[in-house]
Amino acid sequence: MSSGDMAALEQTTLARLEFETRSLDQGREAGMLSRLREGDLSAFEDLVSQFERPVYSLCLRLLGDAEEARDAAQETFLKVYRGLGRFRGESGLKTWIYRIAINQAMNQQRWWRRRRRNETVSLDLTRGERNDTVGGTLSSSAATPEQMAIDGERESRVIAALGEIKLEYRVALTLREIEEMSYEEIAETLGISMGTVKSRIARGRDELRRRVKELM
Amino acid sequence: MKCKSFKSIASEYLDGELGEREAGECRLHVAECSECRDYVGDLERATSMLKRTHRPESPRELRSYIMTAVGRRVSGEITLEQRFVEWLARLNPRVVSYATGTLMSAVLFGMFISAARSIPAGGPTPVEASITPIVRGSDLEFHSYNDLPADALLSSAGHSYELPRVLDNGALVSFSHIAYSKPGDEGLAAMVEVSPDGRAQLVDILGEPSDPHLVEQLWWSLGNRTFQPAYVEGRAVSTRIVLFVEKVDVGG
Repeated sequence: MSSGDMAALEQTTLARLEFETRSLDQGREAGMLSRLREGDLSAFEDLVSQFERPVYSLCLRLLGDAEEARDAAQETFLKVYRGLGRFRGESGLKTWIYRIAINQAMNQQRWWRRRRRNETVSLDLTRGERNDTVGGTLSSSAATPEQMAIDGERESRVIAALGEIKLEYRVALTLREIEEMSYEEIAETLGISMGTVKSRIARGRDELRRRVKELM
Repeated sequence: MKCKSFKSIASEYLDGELGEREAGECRLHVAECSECRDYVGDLERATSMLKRTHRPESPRELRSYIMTAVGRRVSGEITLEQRFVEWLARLNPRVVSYATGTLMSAVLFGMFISAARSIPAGGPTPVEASITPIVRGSDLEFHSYNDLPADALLSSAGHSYELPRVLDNGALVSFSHIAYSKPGDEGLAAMVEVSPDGRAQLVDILGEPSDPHLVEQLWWSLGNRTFQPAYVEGRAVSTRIVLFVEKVDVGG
């Protein structure tokens, strides 16, 4: 078999795997939705447990404040619960929840931080938000304490740099790089065109590049 | 390909989102141009730094907060007021802020107009209360009635006291505060009855006020306010009080 054939086979296998995973996710999602619509509170708790971390993380990246992120995440889930009856399933559950979370975070940002000119993320906060245990980090890598401190500092500065980027670009960049969404998913979540998604990601990356250049 | 064109699509190039032809042109350009090679390298390093950041854990209390709030909603503990706030929250925040601003302005304007409204004056006095002349007595008589020693040091000159007595309507008048005959006498004392529901009405004007408009103003004020009646054994009862009204110059 030639290398070209191998590559084609690999592509086909990957595509099939992706399709099967998606079908499985869709099946699971449909089951959860029907339980949710029946008013099954345990189904809602499952949904919260599945999405609370990504939603909180997204809100934190967008708002840069742990307390506000918690409020935004809480409000997001309450809106999800209230909106379940209206959810038609035209978009995926994840897309819908992320859309609510982003709108919530953006509204909070506009309302409560309008007067705050410097929308930077505190270094102390980003440093303090990490919950990895020292043991876990040590066992996962052979980093020395000095190296860990440097890595922690570097990460804090990257997150702080993200916080300085214009909100629209920050949202697109967060969805792309941290939430690992495709361009199509981002367009659907934000309700914007693919062209706008590409442009926001490109501008966001360029801003991030300039802000973290000294760390490279 | 020019550097400017390359930089405009470098992000998509990095993500493999370009068509084969454009991607090929980019590869060629990067191979030839060190500046653009550095540029796309920096972009890649910056994004990979961001990708490597840790996803923070959500606060422990978050899930219980959410489930408690949802549980309250399910069990119907949520009040009408909270539902209204939720409904407001669903509206466009900008519209809500404009509407709130307009409403607040209207309320403040209304309060201003209300405060600036002149108290009705002139015309016939819409008061049916009778006017009972103050029966003034001397210092000595007052002190004697109240079983108080006469104060020799304080002259009673300029003092006169309402003497305790029973009016025709059965009200007992026994007070001394209106005793001071103030220069100008721009005040009045009135017997007012407060019903258990807080409404007040004039029963009697005690003494002829030098300014008859004061009676109208008092009548108007009584009709626009509620008063606290007395409570006997936990129940509000009709209560008669004597109101003292004194004109003051608020304009300085």
